[in-house]
Amino acid sequence: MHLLEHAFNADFAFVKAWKGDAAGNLIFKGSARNFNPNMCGAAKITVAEVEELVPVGSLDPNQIHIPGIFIQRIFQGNNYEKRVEQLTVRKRN
Amino acid sequence: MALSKEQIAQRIAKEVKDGYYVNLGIGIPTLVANFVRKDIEVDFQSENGVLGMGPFPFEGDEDPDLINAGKQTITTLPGASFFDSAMSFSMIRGQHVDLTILGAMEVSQNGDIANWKIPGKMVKGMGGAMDLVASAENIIVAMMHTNRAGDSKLLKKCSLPLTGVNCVKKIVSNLAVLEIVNNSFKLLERAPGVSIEEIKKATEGDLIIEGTIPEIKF
Repeated sequence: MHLLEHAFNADFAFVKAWKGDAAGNLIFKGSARNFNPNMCGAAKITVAEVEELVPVGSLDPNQIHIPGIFIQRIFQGNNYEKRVEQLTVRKRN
Repeated sequence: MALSKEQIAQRIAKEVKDGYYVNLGIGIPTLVANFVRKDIEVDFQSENGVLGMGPFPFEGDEDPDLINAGKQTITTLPGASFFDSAMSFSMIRGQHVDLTILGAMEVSQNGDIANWKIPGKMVKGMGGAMDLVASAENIIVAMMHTNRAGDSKLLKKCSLPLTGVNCVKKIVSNLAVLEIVNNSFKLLERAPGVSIEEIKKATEGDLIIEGTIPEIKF
């Protein structure tokens, strides 16, 4: 028995990355990678918001998570207010 | 005395072996990490894209970009890695994860599990549970034996929408440790001071009771 799920095609994908350059190359941070890289390839137009937009050539090619070919628009956001949905911590001794 | 949630987690931690990659579900399963022996090497996977998950961060050290699948803030241990969801589910579907520990609303005697939806109630979705139960070789369920009304959650047949079919291997409840064998719940251990009669009363599904049933040891 098997179940075949067809690939998902979207007109637009909106993703959020940590760093990116004008060529569209993206680097994500921590567990915020999630479905973002997968959706970059699944849409005709992918719009990427990055926390830091850096000059082309300043990202190490070895460290890039998503090549710019999958990104059609990119911009740097501002005034980030990062919310934690479930804060779980332990006490310092 | 019935086990506390911490004690259920403590008992399940004994099933975690050296070298295992383990996925922990939300709720009691998350607590298991606190009780795993310190002298063995275990990697915890979270299906949102973390391998090598560590304990919760110290107050003030939390990072909004570092959470587990239950959206709780976490830390990573040396050797950890991050990856996207496709990679994460390749690990799960490819059976690279050795042990999956899940919570459940209902389990049936043939190993079906229902743990994602109560009809009429708002849910965010099934999450990774469906992939985990369809792929994992070894699934242990952490649960309360009965609901708040006192009705059994270990049933002949689940009444809620299923997450997976015929997949649960072992159950650690607040009353007992049971194994799914021959379309029945086989009683392996009982909570300290809990009688077999109490377990029988709290179990709607068929029970196999063979020989003397030892008390759970930690």
